[in-house]
Amino acid sequence: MAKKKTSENGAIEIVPGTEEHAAREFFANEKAAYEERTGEKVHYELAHPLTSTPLPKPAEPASDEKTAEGEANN
Amino acid sequence: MSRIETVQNWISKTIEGTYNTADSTGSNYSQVPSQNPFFVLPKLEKLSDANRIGMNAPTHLCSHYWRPGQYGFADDAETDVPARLFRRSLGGAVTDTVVVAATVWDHTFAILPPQTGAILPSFGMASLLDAASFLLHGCMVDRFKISQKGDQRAQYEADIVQSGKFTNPHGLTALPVLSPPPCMDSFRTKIHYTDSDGSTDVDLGSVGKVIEWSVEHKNNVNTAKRRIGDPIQTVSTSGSGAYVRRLPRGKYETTVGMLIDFLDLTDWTKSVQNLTFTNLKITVVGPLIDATNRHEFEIIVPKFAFESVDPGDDDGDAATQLNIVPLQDPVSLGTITGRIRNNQATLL
Repeated sequence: MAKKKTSENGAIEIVPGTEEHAAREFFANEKAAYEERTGEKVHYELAHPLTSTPLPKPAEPASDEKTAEGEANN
Repeated sequence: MSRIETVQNWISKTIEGTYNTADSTGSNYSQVPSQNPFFVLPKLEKLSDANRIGMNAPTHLCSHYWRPGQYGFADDAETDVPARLFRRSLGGAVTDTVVVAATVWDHTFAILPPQTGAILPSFGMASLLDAASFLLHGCMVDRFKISQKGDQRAQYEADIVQSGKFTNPHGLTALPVLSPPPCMDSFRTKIHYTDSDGSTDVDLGSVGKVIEWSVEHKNNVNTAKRRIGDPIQTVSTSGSGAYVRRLPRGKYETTVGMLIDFLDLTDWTKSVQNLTFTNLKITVVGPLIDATNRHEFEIIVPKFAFESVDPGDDDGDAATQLNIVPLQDPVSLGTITGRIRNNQATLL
């Protein structure tokens, strides 16, 4: 769990690099796309988080198969 | 080839701008690869007075609603039509990313969050077998399944539902032929996930123990949203029935399963400990697009656990059935996401 940063009113700050920030960016994008596609207004707002969780770092991939040079594009 | 195997079905490459208004340009359609032949005859539901007291049989029939069409496709999974159907089954917005300029693109998408709305992307579907020529409006993907067993290529199954609205004949010109499907070699499939420590990559493919796997997403689309004032469609001069104006998604369900060789108790122990894992990526890999990039059809389970690890049988050998429960992804708020890598700039 990341160290909690709080704003003046005591609420957790939503900072880039956290799941909470990514979720809000994702939801805003989905909301805009849905409104454009359907013409319906979306009123839902994500509630403010109580915690702040850093985004997981991707695991190092195991040895990746390399394409043999000259392999046919089948 | 039997007569029913001469049927041709197409879906639009575009999404309907207004529900129940299919694209009317033939070149905007792609023929659907399928090994499941069917042809379309819209069905009109009828009501009668047969149940009235004193009646032994109906005196006449009344037209009611056009039954929402339900059609199924199944074939090799690949990065064109099956990928479109997968994307439409999840329903979220697509992010297109250039991998190699003008050559290779990635398309990522997630499940349409129910908090956003319940209307999945809809599209048109044309079907032709002799005189049975129909354009179906307001189609949605109700169920999408992708699976692979042994040395077989990954297979897709897609169930389509639609409002009941149709055009006869389909009225489209220059509907294209079936594109030759690319070779999505079974042996290239990759299956990885990140272990509960958040850093160790578990590569199930590298140890060669995956016997079969499947991912199924059901939208449970409500096809019975019938309301007073629904539009009416007439065949000839008097064959009139109504069709629905909306097909909202129900509560969706995602099922992920895997059968692997039994090696030790590692997975069983993880299951009883309720450990949480991340980024299960099942990548079906196809032919080269350029010198280094291949077509890829990827299903991602961002967060999951093993609901149960059960004893299984693989032709007499011991196997384990991993029943995977997708957990809510804290970012996309859903169960699975998708990524398609291909040679097209967009994937609608």
